[in-house]
Amino acid sequence: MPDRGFDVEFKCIRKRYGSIEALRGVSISIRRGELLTLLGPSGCGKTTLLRTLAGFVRPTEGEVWLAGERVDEVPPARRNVGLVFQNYSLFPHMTVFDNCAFGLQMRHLDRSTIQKRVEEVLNLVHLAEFSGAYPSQLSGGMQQRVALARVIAIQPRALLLDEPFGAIDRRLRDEMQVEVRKLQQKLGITTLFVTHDQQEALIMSDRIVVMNEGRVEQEGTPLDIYDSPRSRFVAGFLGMENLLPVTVVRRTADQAIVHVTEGPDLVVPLRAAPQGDHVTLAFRAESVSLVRREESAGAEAGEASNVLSVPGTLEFLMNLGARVVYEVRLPDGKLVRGEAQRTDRTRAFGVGEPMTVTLKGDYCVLLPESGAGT
Amino acid sequence: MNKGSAPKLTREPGALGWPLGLMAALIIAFLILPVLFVIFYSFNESAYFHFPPTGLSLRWYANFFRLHYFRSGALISLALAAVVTPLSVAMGVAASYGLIRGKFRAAAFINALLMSPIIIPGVVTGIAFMTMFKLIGFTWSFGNLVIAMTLICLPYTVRTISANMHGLNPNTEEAAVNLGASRWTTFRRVVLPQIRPGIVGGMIFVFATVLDDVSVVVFLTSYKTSTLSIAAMGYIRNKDDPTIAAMATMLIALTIVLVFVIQRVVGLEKFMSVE
Repeated sequence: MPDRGFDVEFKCIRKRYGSIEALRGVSISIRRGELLTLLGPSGCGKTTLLRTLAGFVRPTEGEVWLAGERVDEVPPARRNVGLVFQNYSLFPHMTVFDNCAFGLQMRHLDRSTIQKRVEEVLNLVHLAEFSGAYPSQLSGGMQQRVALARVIAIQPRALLLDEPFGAIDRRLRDEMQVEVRKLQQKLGITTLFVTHDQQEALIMSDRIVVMNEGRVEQEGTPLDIYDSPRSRFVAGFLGMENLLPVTVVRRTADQAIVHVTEGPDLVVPLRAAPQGDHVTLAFRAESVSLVRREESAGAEAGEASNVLSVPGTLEFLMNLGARVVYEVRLPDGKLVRGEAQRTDRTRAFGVGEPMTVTLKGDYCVLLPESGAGT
Repeated sequence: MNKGSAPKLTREPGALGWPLGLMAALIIAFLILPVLFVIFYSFNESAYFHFPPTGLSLRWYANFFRLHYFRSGALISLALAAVVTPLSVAMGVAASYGLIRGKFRAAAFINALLMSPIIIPGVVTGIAFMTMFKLIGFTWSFGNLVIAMTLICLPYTVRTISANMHGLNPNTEEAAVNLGASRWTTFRRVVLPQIRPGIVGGMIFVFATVLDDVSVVVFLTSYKTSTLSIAAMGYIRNKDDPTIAAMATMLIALTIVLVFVIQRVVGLEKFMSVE
């Protein structure tokens, strides 16, 4: 097997449970030292894929490669990968020290080596002074750090994190994400990270693979995925709430002119734009701006440009503290969701009032008309 | 169903207070009084109960140990407990682990089968065993007792150990395997220590059952292998003196010691809170 700098390779993995197909031919490679995130809703197959690498799920078809070795027939105890669970899963009857020493004892290392290695990893996660404590005496965040130390101690060929922050409260989670990411980079350990939280994926990852229904939807850097989703599913999953059906009027080499609603057309830059005339215009709520009709400078009809201002009626408005979210109905019945900083100006908004909605083409993406990239 | 008016969880004192208090007092009295009476009676000097007692004495205790009848019964019962307890615990652990971790279709059926000795009356079980052992010509009486009692006790160990095992996080076993442990090592170092409370709880039930079962054992004992309970039954049929009370008091003392030891070892509240 030629080594192309990939530490982990999934080749065409399929997994069937009776008539249910949990994985439908997934191929993913992780580079050495890279943190790759599997992002998707529950039931998309991300955990199943991670477990094929840990050895707890045997693929129905396909190959799993780890550091140049095919491992899908290797028993889980001999794979030397470190798995961290959402529910910590520390051994409740052992101290922090013994938890971390367990994997080393399984490798029959001598006592002084174990002692030294455990001290090292506990220092790494800043828990050296808790080595005599039992898991139940620690907070959730601390327990997860012990779980991390426990697998780092065995110097695994890859680190597998299965929703590791899911059970930790929000405030601590942000801290843990940064800490784990720093540690992962410091150790240069190849990592497969599973989450359903897009924010977490964006913070942690070198690369993200978005999965849906047992398939890879899209693969790319966090910014790629965030800015240029290629399917309605990915766009929706990463928070592009507006998915409007539009018609392509004209295409040039790098942009498309689309007809959104009554009035002038919108110029949208072409990234990986779909074929056909009927497409979906996707954009985030934050990229919409809204003013009351009487304050707007009067929509200039005619030329298509990369800014589109159209009339609409405010249908819904909700204050979220520092921000407001709203929905505006366009004359042709389409609904646009927007979000803005809450100011004196938004305070004056009233439901039912005539408004002017402004979209910027640069913040829009064209996607296939419907379906999930199939 | 959550209707408009939520049920009152706190009650003002007085309304139902004293009848409930009386009820509780009576229940406690009925539980405790016979025990206290037996203890009191066992130290009574005369063979018949007098109040106030004519004097205190240990003669009935001496009598218990003097009678070969009781000595051999106690020995047989203890030997039986010593063999049956590890057997039914081992089988209970294996069965619980299989029923809970192994996902197979017959699990519910096997569980019901293992529980059946609790439901079937002891007399029926006893007669069934007696008939079967006779039929196959297996006449070693102590062996008969071991087999029968192990089966009778299995529901208790399976119950306490399964309840304990249900509470275990299966991921801890995966974590152990992931760290390089074999299945056996995982069982020994991760599962077993966590189900210790269930095992100890089961052991107590087994011990108590072996000591006091009459209905099954009565069909399987011979003159030579009478258990303590059978010996006691035989004794009170002929004599009515506090020797039996002395035996009961010693069993109570043994139970209390046992409970204290267990509390020390595992913490009683831990295994009393099964499920």
